[in-house]
Amino acid sequence: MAGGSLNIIMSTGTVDKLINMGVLVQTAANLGVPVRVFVTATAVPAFKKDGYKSANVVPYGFNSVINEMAVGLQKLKSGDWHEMLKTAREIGEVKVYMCSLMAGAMNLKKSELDPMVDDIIGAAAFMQSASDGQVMFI
Amino acid sequence: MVTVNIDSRGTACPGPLTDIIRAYKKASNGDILVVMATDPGIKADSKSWCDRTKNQLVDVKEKNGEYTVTIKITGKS
Repeated sequence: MAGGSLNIIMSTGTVDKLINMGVLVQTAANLGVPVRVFVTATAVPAFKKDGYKSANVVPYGFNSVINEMAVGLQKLKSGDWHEMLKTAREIGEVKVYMCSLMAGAMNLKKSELDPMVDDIIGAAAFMQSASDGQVMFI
Repeated sequence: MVTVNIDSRGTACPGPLTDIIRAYKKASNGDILVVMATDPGIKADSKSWCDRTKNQLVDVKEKNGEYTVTIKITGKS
């Protein structure tokens, strides 16, 4: 990844995956690595306007471990995934794109998305912009 | 040359490194950042960041679960 970018396909909207994304994006921003996040599939609701407030879906069977994790993260003064993403955008070059197919399927306009979503783009545009770096699927 | 103290105790990865970046943005070459942290990840993370950004990791000390990391700013262009 030296000199390249980190390109995350954010496909799963459970809270554990969103936290993973937040940590990776903030870390990449810390290291000066440009980041692009492509939001699709079940991650879409979390990136609707104010979606992060209600999109705390816990993966089936993991309630107790997620609760334990949430308490521990609060003790560590660690922000939630949305705050991590916001911090990353303050300190680094971080872009968030909504998948145009999913936006069309769910009848979503840009004005209905989280203000951190920079644009609605297709997979081809994302692949093209990601060609200079590493692609990660979450 | 300015020495900036950063208190990241009680926060966890990637928080301490973000605190360093915020201070770094205001710093100049020759300045010293002294970071206090309780997250053990700060040892490897600060080294990785210094290697990547061409800043100098001067010292990492550990005492009773607290880390003091000293960085000299050399990577500003």
